[in-house]
Amino acid sequence: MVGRSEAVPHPRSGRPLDEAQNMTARQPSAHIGRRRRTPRSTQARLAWALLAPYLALLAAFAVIPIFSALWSSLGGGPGSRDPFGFATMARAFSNNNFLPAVINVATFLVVFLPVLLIFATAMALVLHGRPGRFTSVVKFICYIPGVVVGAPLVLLWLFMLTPQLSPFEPLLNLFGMASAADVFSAQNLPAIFAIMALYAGAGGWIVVLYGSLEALDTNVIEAARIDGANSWHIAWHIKLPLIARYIAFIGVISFAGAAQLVAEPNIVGAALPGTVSDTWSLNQLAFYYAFNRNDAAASSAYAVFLVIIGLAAALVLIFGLRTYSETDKTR
Amino acid sequence: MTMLAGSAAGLGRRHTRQLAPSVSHGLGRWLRALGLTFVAVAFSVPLLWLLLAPTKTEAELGSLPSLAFGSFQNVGAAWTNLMSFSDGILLTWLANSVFYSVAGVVIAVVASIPAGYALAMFEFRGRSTIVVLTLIGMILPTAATVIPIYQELALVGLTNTFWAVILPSGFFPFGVYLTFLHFQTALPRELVEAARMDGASDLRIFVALGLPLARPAAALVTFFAFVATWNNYFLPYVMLVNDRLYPLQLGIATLLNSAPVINSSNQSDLPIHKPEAALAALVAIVPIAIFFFVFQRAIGTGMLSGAVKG
Amino acid sequence: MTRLAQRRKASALTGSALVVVLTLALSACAGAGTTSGPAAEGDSDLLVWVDATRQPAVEAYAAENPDVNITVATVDGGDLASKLSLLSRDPDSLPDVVFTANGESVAFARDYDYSADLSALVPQDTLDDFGATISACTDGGKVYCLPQDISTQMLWYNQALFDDFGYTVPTTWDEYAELSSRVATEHPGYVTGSCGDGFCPNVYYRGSSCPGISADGDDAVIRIDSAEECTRVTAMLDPLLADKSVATLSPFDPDMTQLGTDKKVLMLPGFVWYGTVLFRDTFHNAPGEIAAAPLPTWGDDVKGAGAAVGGQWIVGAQSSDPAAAAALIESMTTDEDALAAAVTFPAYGPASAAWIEVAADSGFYASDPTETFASARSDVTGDLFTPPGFDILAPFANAVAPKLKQGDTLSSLLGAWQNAISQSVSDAGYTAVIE
Repeated sequence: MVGRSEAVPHPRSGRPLDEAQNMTARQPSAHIGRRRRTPRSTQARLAWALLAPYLALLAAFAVIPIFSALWSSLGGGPGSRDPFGFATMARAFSNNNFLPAVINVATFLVVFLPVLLIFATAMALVLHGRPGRFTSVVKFICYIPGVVVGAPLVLLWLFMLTPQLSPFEPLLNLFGMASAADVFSAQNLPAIFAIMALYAGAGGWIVVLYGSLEALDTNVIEAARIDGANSWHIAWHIKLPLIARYIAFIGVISFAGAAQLVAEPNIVGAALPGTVSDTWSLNQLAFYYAFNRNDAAASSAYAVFLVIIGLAAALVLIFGLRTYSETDKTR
Repeated sequence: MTMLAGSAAGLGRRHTRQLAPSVSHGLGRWLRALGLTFVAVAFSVPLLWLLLAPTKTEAELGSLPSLAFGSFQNVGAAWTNLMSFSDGILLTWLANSVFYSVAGVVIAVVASIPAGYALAMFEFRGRSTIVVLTLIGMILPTAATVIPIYQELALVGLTNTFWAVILPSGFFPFGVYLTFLHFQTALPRELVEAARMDGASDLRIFVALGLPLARPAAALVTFFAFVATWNNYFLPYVMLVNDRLYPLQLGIATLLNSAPVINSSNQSDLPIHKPEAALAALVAIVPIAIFFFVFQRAIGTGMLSGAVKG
Repeated sequence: MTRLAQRRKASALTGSALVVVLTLALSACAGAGTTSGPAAEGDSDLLVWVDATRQPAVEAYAAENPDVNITVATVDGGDLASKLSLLSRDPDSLPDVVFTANGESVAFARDYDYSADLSALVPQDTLDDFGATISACTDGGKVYCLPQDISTQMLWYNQALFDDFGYTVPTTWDEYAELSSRVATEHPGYVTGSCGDGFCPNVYYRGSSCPGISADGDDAVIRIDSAEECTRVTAMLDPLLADKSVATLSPFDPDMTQLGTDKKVLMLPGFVWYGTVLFRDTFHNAPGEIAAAPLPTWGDDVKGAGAAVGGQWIVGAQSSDPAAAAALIESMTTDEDALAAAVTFPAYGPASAAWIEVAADSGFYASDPTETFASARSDVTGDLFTPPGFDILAPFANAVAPKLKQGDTLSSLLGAWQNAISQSVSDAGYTAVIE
């Protein structure tokens, strides 16, 4: 099994190995407990030295701020108005605007996430079904709107959703919407923000999923085709399960990002007075109390809430993937 | 949300055989082509509109067909109007954005590459903590961190300076994570072991083996850090009061807030209306679009990446 | 415990302790204030925060007064509270002069200790010439700002259309409601009012002497659904909203602009500056079409109750040269020539007469607006001060307007409005009581 191997690819990097390395090629490269020439302490010292600049930044811009926010949300620090303890959080979460904000963000997530995942996955699978020039062009067209972010993105879609200005006017009229007031009604807002987020974000995820499809072992797919499976069957039963963990990853990252929705409702609210509350989303609520009411403590409470939501999603990812990879040794 | 775009692609072009197309017979091909064309049109129409908007006057935007071309004269007029805002501060904002993004990238790369290497190659106490902290850092909401960061920088007197923008921009946990993944897969342990057995120190291995191999990771980190810094709004919003220091995203948002285009109750006679707003948006977008073009090969999203494998 | 585990535990504890100590240090230092930023260089160095509209005026002042070193920073009005709250722990970087279009001078004094008391810096005669408008800046006997302008209320109407349709201009709200209902049947599609954002309560409710909230010690009593002055407005507006004579659109909504340019806006109760900003510049009405009449009355209400002070100039209490700062804001608010040419109606008495002259001479209005403008100003005699947190406009825009646009009636939304108001007053430290 070992023997001559001029073209045996390394299982992970694809680079051919020579004979001497073949002996060790069987070992998975992440295996640790080997005898080392250099003492662990020297290694560790170099590791810390290499990590030093990053750790300084990590401490300054992630660890200390998050503890500071936590401290502030418990009523410590300057700008606190409540006794130390859970009083601040109680005040923040019983705010009349908190529950509506949670509902708004939840509705947005329910509309946005499934559409994003289904659309990105479907596009990636359809594109991958027939690689070529056309595929690359379409992929690029979907990806390039990712440059439009923030105020330009919202501005663009404000215009796209104003029937009198928009190239999509016939489509909007089809839905019975003849003016911006019709489009930007309260129940349409989650869908509108979802369109904006999809436009800027879907392309990137399509590229990621396409890349993961490219990395799949072609043997499995070829085998299926030889067995007579058509393209739909291959996409649904072969490719899809193999990229499922990427889809899950995208779902979790998008969840955390989408929960922080803030620029879109802000700008739409400024452009169309009386259509969007200035505390429509949770993140808006946090910024409102930080900046308009000088209430850093309440703001920290909302921010901590957002962190917990994001952490919960991250935990789902870590444990979900771990279970998945433990049950799936065929990779 | 485009943060991971291409990472899997960049790291995944490894199979050596080209797949035969799955969709080969007539009707399926036509349906596929139709569907994809529809999507492509839907995605490109808004950008087309944006490109054409400055060629029309405010009135023409409503009266002419939405994708009609106006005249180049109108673009000139819109540009003059934009430049009239605060003596052409738009160009200062553009220069600021370039400076912040480049400086932020330098710090991010210098910090992330060695960090990712250390996390991938060594075993030491605290390693998994740092990895976990990095993952958490990737999803930390700005709302939670922005005020404490402001207080920290105020302590050392750096607020309202460019340091207040580029230092936090250099903190790029996603870059560390990308580099970490990259070294895990691209640098086989066997190679390192062989070098060690030849007597090389770990430092020498890093310099002679790790750094050269880091180039693809550095390219990815450069790309994502540049885009993230370019698009960052809340960090400069909190850190900067002097509008001559604003980057483009923040400046344009300020411009739109002052002008009647977004909120016509702004009682000002600034000549900033829809064509000028569209032109300002293009100024914010075009440099980063060029950047996308330049980097497309490195991150596998290119127009040609479908045709050329491996 | 093994030695390895012991060392791990020790370093974990050290690490956590370090983080906690740093965080506490950060909080403590941030609370004590810092001396960051460039120190004040010489005397007469003024840092001025204005919005883009006021910037040219300040720069002109700087050119005329070279002995004062003025640095102008354009800060958007919506950002003011946030920037001030961030800098409140860093007094050296605070501006010497701030212009706010949102009437926040007293809020800045109460929340951030920012606004300086001008009664010591500005001559009493000057303050008196502002008339009742100075009350908007006055809290507890201290004067925290100089008002730039005052938005008086009146009824705008398209005289050309009135002549065509044979209508007479209403003088009471009952007549207004009757006329609107007539318009809905005789000329559907024409608009007689706007109720789609905060301008609606500003014009209709405040114009009916319904401030909606009153202070009672530590309580804030909300009477939108109980006070006669408020309920009569709701009763009047609901049928008009139903037959669409009053549009559920902001005056600045693009759809309203479309109606305006289509000459479908028959009348619009609103503010004095609607004439130029809205009708001339946004709706592009031709000269000779639009006229102003006094705001309709309920018969027994207080005239001029709905007026509001808009722009305010504030001097920072921490300023190193308050005299120079006060001189600047005095000039901004009393220079008759500059104010007469401004878009907004000046608060300073002598300047407002000059403004009315310029408006009458402009030739835009269908009939001489002098009497309407002058009486609207002289009707303003009461206390214009709104305690911070007592704002009924933003809660309306946030909680009521979106649902109004979906077809809900105003009376069904009063609960939501009062809810939003009670949150606003609790944020300001009061206990909300809804009657």
